[in-house]
Amino acid sequence: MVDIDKRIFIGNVGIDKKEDKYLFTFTYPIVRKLVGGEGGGGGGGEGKSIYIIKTEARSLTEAISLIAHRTSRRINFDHSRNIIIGEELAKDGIKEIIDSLERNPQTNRRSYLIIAKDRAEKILSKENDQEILLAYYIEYLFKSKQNPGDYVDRDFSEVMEQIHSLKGDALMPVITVAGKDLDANGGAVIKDYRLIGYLNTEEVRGINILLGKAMQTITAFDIDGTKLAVCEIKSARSTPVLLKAQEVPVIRYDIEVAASLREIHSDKIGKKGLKELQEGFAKEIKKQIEAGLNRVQKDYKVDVIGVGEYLYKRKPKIWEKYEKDWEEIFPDVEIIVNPKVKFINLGPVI
Amino acid sequence: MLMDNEKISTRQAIVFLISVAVGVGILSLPRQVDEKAGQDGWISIIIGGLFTLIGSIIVAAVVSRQKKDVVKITEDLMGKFASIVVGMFYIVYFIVMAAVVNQTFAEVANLYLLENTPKEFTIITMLLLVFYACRIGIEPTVRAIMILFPFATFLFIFIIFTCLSRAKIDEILPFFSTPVNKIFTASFESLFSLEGFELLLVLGPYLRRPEKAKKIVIIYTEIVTFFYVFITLVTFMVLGKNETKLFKWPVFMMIKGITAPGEIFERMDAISISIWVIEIFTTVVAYYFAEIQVLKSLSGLKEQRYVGGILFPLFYFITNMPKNFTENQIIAGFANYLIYPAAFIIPLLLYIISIFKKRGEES
Repeated sequence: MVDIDKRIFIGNVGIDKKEDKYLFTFTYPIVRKLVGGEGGGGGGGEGKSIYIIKTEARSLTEAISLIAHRTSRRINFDHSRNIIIGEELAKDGIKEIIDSLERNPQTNRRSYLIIAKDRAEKILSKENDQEILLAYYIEYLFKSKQNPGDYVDRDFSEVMEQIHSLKGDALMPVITVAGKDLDANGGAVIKDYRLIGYLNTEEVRGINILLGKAMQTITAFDIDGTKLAVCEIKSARSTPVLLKAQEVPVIRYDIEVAASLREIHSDKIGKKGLKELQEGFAKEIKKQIEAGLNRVQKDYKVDVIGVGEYLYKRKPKIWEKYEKDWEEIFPDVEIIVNPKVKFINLGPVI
Repeated sequence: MLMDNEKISTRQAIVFLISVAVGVGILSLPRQVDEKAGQDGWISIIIGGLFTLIGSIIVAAVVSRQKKDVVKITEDLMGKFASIVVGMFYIVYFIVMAAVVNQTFAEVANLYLLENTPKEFTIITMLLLVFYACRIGIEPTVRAIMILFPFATFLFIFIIFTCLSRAKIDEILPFFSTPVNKIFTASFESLFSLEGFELLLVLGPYLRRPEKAKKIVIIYTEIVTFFYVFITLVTFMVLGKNETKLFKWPVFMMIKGITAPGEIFERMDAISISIWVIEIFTTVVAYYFAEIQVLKSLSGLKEQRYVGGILFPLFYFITNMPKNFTENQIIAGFANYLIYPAAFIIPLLLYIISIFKKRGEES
């Protein structure tokens, strides 16, 4: 038995490539600095409250065993909040890392597995004044769910579920350095366990709307290229419909968006104005979805939007025809986006 | 002290049987059926439930006709020698089943709960507790189960319910895309988790109203099948069929990924594993008790606690034979074959002979 004050709880794990090994960066809070000395003297101490420890190793378990010789207290890995994978490593392949994470009984499956648009150690060396603990800061970039349509809102177990059911493809959350802060916008596209590119905020939003996942997400756009309008997507429901299944399938996504008007620089919204607004927003949504689709379909050629899954689940007979060369077929699949916007809230001003 | 240690009510018998069936399967059954039948695995469990219903009705018919335990019934119908053979068979069967369950428990506890405790120690503590629960007679044993079982099961179902927030219903699509023969193979696989009704064969003399045996097994089958189908469906819907296949105990992995709504309990896995220990305890207790009954009526010994004591080292030894998951799977595969004679063939044989010889009919 090890008492709780004889343990350290690793908050973040950063994994980078270093020659033919991995460089692991662990951060953990120094509890005494956070709550004051053992004698009960006032809160907070001098100096940094987060300790960073790095080691080179061939796997996660080995890394933990190596840093064990350097830490005074017993290492606990099961409360880790974020596992951050560096860009270079992600491009090289994350299969081994995923395997070590899944095999480790201590892995926190409610944590976030994030791709860094940089080296992970750099992200973890960031000092941020917003939160005392860096782990909470990074975790709550995702967990607070502000405009969740703008990033990939998936935790470890959800990413794992996707990567296994798509056999190596996934859409993963991403983190970048933005001046003093860190930024969680956008997403990373993984194909065959390798990072092949990123999606920007608008593309991710488009994909999220297409998947019916964009809730409470704010979008600013111009109606007819002149009037600025800011609308919030309250919820989106998306139903794929298979129209034709010849050489390539033709699929229509019927998307019902419930929206709320946040800001518009115009006079009173009458019947005509409302129609204009609805059409303008639908057009904007269509534009964003098509931008996202274009990226994953034409540029990255990876089915992270679940078209194959839809065919397999709903039309298993038709899927048999495509299954074998789905990778070649997917970029040519014709996807028709058909969004319908309904405003359920127009704000307090007439 | 006056104690009615001899008879149990119908309700107690139902709980006793269910507690046997609800055990290791709740962590591993989704994987077992997924390996064979993919996302249609839950259909296999329903089919397995039908097999269970057929088998258990035969067992109930035998018991309600003869009102004795299996050794005495065999002796009555087929003579002394046959009864020794059948008795020895059930002794082996119960001990192997209990060993598989107990070994799985020790492995899970060793991995997630008591990392530095030797497995042997985990096993011996469980067995000591089981021995203690069985030492007087059926009534205290069943009472222990009656107290623990509903508490543990409802809590477990509650935890599974919290997982529903992550469930995506289309993960179990497409229906019936698996070949029928694979669905059936998977349903045989699910029998290991579903069965438990053959313990009714030793409960015969203890039932207050043996004529209600059929009611017991029907309720038992319904609840157990429903319980397992529910757990399997939720696991498939949360993890998807590919990930379910990946883990030894997928249900536990699913629970590890869940935070209770409102973050009152951030980690449900620790609670779920403690509840699971109770489920394992009720299973092992039932097998141990059944083992004692068979040995008692085989040897003519009367004293419950001495017979229990004799069996203790044997249980310990057999449980410790497999040292890890893979070795335990081999024993479990062997146990899977024993289910057919133990739960289906022998009861059916006894039933046919009892009709033929017109034993146990109302005169």
